[in-house]
Amino acid sequence: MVLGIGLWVRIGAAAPVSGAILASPSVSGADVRGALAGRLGSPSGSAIGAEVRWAEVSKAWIDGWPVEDGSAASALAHGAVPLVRTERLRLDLRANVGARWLSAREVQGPDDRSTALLTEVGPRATLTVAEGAAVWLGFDNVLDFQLDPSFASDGLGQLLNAGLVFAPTDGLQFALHGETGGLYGYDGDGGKYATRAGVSVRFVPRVARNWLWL
Amino acid sequence: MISFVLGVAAAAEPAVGGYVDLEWRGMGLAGHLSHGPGIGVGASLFDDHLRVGVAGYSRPGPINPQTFAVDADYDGSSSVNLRSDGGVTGILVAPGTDLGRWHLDAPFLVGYGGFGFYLHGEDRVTPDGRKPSAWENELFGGRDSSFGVGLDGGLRASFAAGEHVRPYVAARWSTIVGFDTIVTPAYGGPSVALGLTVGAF
Repeated sequence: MVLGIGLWVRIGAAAPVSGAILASPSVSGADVRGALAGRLGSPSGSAIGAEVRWAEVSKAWIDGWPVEDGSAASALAHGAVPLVRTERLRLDLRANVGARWLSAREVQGPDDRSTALLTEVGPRATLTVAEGAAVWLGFDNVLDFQLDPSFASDGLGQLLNAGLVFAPTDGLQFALHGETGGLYGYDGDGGKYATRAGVSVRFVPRVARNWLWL
Repeated sequence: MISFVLGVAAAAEPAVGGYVDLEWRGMGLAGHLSHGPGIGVGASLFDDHLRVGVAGYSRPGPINPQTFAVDADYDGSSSVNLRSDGGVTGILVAPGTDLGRWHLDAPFLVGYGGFGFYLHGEDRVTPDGRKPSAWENELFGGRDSSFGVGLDGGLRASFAAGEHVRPYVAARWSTIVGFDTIVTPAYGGPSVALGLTVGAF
């Protein structure tokens, strides 16, 4: 059977859409971050959602000037489309697109606030290893651009990510995840390498053991 | 009521498979040892006799301690020690064949990328407070980095450890066409990689 990609508009009874809420604290070499995300999944396996992030920053850049103390808030839209699915494997194309507002308490340059466009696009392969348990690996192509106070590349690179998820009940998941990779921004004045590790608690009513790909 | 479904219709055993590669490379680029991550994603065609996709590799500076001495009048010194970073991303074509539970292929990447050299450590606190990039551009006349077409090819052997999991080893040769910087006129050389492919083949 040939793979097909499409957009269907269904008129009539509502599709049995399910939802999930994800809470994900994480720590990196540059910040301590909390994230809260909501997801809606369709019967086809695709998903849309939204995510907000709050970070206490110890390393960031405004116009290429180092920020050693600050806060960042981000709001992103999320989408995921399964490209390949078998009984145990699901390969998704995932994307997050949004904005970040950075406020510096300590910065070497003249500006203490910035706004940036965030884009994270990449594949993720989720492999079910036991009932209610899966591992995933993939990567994100990061394309972040500062929009204000000037237009500049904030971060370009590829971050490898991997994790494992376990669903102890039909409504709850726990996950461990990490990412690492090189970055480039601000003509070389920005961050050059990123690592992050975190945990997730996911409330996934009724389908936690099946939605291991979230 | 109107609802939407955006998705992919796929059979249990798709005619077109897909995969994700993650790897770590040990590299002998530009006459020194370094390491860094590599990635890949794409489609597996013709019973996995051909993979086509997107791939890349990088050499992050902060995790590679090698420095490169360059003559330059900077902060009271007549030379500076630079670190290096960079990478390549492009289109991958990998014809291959199965040998029992082993799969041999010849991945060939054509892409775009480059490598550069930068002030590091205490040298990033510049004498006049300007950004390090301004000093790098001034000291090296814009020849602190070079970009161009990246070529990367070799051989890879993967083992079917499970239906969807294939660890692999790879040996490749890489170069950047037309590379030229104040540190080195070429940034090519061999690499070996340990990696993991997860996919449906």
